[in-house]
Amino acid sequence: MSEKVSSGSLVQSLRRCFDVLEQQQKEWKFAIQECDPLVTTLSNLSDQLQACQKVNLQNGPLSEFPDLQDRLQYKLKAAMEVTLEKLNDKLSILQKVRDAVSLLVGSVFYVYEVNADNIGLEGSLSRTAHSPSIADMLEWLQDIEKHYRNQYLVRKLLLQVRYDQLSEIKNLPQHWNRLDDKSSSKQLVEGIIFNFFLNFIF
Amino acid sequence: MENKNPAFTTPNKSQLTGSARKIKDNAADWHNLMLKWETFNNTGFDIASKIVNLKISSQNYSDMLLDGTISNKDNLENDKTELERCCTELLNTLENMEQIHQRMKKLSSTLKGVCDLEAYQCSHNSSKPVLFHTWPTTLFYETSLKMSNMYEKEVSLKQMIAGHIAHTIDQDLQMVYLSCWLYQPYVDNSVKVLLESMLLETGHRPL
Repeated sequence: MSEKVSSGSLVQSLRRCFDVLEQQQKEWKFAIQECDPLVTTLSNLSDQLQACQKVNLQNGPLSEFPDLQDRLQYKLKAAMEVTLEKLNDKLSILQKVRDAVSLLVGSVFYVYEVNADNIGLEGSLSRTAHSPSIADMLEWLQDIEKHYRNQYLVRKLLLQVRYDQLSEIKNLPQHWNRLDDKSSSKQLVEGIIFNFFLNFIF
Repeated sequence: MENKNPAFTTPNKSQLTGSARKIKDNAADWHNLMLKWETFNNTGFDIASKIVNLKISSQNYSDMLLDGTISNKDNLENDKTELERCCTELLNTLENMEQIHQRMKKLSSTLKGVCDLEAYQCSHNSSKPVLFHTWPTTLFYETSLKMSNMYEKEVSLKQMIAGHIAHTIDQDLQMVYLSCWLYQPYVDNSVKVLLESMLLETGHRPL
């Protein structure tokens, strides 16, 4: 009897957890969507900065403006700073999602640990055609948490740009979009959430 | 105790006369001219981008004609007509920007006149009046002149760009022309602070 009560409360908290996860995933996706044009802007600006550094203005018609190159570089870098600032704002939203998910998953694991003895090993592992086992679901949660942690870290590292490595900034959109690639982990979170609700609806 | 010194109160719009009225209207004109300038700058950038794209595509097309990959010259002719049209459009936009700059210069010379008048009126008096909050009248002229000089340099850069953008095939240079047009290297970022200070001082912006 106590085994049923314990696993019931765990399943309840798992359900709540997946509900919140769905919301968090929406927020994450929205923030990433807003980042995309900013990353492209940054890449365009680095392209312009590179052209500005490559061109020899002293021999052309612009030689009348001796301080032009410095001034233009200053303006372009200022525009890049503004874009980076906006991207960092978005990054902080991603960080919030990551932290919220960690907290959420931590709390479910706490509920599991408190009830682990009552549920027992067999109770954790038993699965039916309708519902996955508790162990499965806990594993999914860990995967999701790991996914957000990795994604946040990689994106944060990608945005640590340096002005002496302009070609890296230029290629930023490719690296950035690859993180969202369907073949990689993009479908992970949504797939798991979908799987979870599918199992509980039918 | 009620403070009756007019220097400490924001003057009511309807009460302003003479130099203060002139300066306040002048500040509003600066604001409007800068907005108009930005609109023309964006229009000009769109046209300049079109010109660069046309140059690139017609260059590719001529290369293909030389290679013998294609033989139809119609597209090249169409591109040339379109390029001609875009160049005229860019020159028209530039002309509008030059006119805006002329008006900016006029605003500075009006302020210079206000300063000269004040200097004449107060020639026997050591203390000059503060018309608004803290700025002496000469500061309006200095600020206006500083801003006008930035736009003057920018106009000459834009004239150079408009004259050469359709005559280069160096893609890096084309990009530099475009970014110069858009980011206006000679209009310092401080121009916004100068304008806002002027609007704040004259009471257009609430303190």
